[in-house]
Amino acid sequence: MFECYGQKLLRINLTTRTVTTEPLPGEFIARWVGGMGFGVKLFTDQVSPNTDPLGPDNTIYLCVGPLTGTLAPLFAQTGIVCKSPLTGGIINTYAGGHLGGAIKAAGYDVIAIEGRASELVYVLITPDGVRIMACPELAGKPARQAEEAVKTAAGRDDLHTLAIGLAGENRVRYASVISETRAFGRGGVGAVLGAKNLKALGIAGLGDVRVAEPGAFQAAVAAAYETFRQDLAQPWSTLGSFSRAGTAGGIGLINEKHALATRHHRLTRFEKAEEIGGQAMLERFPTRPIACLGCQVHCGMLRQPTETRWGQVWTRGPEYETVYSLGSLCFNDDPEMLLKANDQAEQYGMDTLSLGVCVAFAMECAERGILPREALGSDVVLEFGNADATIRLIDQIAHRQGLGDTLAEGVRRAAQAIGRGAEAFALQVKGMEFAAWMPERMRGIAVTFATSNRGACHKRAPIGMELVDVIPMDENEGRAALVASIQDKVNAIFCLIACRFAEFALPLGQFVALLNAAAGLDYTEERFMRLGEAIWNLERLYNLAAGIDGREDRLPDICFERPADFPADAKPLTRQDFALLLRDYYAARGWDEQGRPTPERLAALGL
Amino acid sequence: MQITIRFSGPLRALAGRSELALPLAEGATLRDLLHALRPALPPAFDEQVVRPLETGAGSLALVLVNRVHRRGPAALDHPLADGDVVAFVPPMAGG
Repeated sequence: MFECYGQKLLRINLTTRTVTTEPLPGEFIARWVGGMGFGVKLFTDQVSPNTDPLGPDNTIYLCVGPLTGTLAPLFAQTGIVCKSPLTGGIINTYAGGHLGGAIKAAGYDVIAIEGRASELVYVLITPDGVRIMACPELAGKPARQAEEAVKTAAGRDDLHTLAIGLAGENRVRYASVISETRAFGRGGVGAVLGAKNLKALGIAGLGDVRVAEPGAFQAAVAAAYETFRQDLAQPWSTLGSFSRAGTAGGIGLINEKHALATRHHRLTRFEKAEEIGGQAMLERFPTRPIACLGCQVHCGMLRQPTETRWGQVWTRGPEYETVYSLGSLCFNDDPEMLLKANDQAEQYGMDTLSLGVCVAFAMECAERGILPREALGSDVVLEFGNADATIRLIDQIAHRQGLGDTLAEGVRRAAQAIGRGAEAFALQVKGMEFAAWMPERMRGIAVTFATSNRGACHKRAPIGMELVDVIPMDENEGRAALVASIQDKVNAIFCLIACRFAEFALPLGQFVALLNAAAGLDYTEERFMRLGEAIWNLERLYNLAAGIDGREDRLPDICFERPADFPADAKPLTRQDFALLLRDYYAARGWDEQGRPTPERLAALGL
Repeated sequence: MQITIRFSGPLRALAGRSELALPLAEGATLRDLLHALRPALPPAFDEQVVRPLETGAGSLALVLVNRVHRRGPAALDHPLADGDVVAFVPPMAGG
């Protein structure tokens, strides 16, 4: 039993520079399975809700899952759980690539990083041991450069890495952690590393990953490959579209559905959407698709180094969410600018979603006369669609200069600082900026944004079902319960840790079969779903204790205004709709009317 | 009656254009529109989009009529009206 686990946690204290290894008991493994389950349980047990997110007591839990490093396809992701400096609540965030495989090969399920180093350091974990190395020479360096430096210093070609850029060092509250071509984007985990003076981490291991029941596992893997193969072979496959043109390949569907947030939610459709979508990028820039460890989809679109009017750019993507945030939301239609902005976000290490919302917010403020149009200097106008303004503002945010310093705090704090009614149109929930979808149009998104423990996050929403009219976008009936079930399901698969896209094709039973064969467990689909629900409730309890209660399950006022091009025959979201959806959601969750988990529900979940 | 047809992403590349206006007889259906598209667009569009939609074999395109995704065997019998917008779009984006 538990053959696919290292059954160990590596604890690194940067204050005392001590390293310890702790066993993970079998009971804990069987109950919380891995990935998000391990991270959330350990974090909520060990880190006080009153902890300063940027203080030494905010421990980072770097987690892999039972299927990481096995032959199972689409299980390459690594998770980070800690307290978010953006929301003040718990954050879980994931990145693909190859880091997870290296952590597993090193023999760990979790790496806990606590304390604060007295100077800028990187951590090296190899079969020779764990070393904490001072690296003052890497201060201010781009994440990519820091990762290369660590690899060079380690002298190993099997080392995989993560790092922060200038934004993390400067505690930009939505700084990301970069891992090679991928990013732990949401919630400001890069600022948490920055506050710990941790610039980078490199890890390599020589261990094999074993499984409990090789025959059953081989059969489950073969079945999973076949499921993905059959899906990818269909011309209408979403994953197939991602394979060909990346996640931004289908922007036309969202645009035609009038669900593409444009010009800071003033519009639902962007006339220039096709110019910045995945297909246009593919046609314009030489591209090589790249894959995470063991993935058949290869949705990562690596562009050839490209000359732009801001200099040479070498980047991957941009992803769909970035095409929204720094594209349509800012009314930018220049694909070269999007490549440049994406590259800036990678090098500085910033979440492109929060970043784009902050830039668009500044443009909206300028249009309303709340901020001067010369806020970025006399030579560039702060206005929608101005590519130069976007590029400059990104630089200012990472460097915390001028207006950028205000926006580096995130859009909620920026709106509070700017005042003059700006809070009503700041696109955020619980302090986290909106992902690429419109609560005004999609009831599932309204519920998801309002109730997610992360803030305005889109990862657990019925997006596809609403976009292709499996369920009507603008009906309330049953929507809240559907969202709750998706939240539970995605939490459960994030214990494994599956790519979010795996669930587009793989039925729940196949996830469970892979888990059971690898770990020797006997999960049923029902128990697997209850695992996801238990994790959701643990997060909720933590957030409540941190002062984030039902009053923050809300949407900003702008979501109840009618965008100028809102379809005449569609139903806009009203405050009555939203109240109904929230009431339904609390009922579906078994929570009270203030959104607090009831003792009965918690007992039923074994909490 | 006049129907506006829009093409997105790879469908735009296949159609060789982003938009097209087609006159159709009153009472025409989505099936009639597909038929009328055949001579107006390159053969590749016919092979990869129109024929699979007609035969139910699975097409590269989703078809939206006034923003509503029309699918299943009955989709081709959907009646069109003057001023309708028919969009050929790829599967969803996300991430």
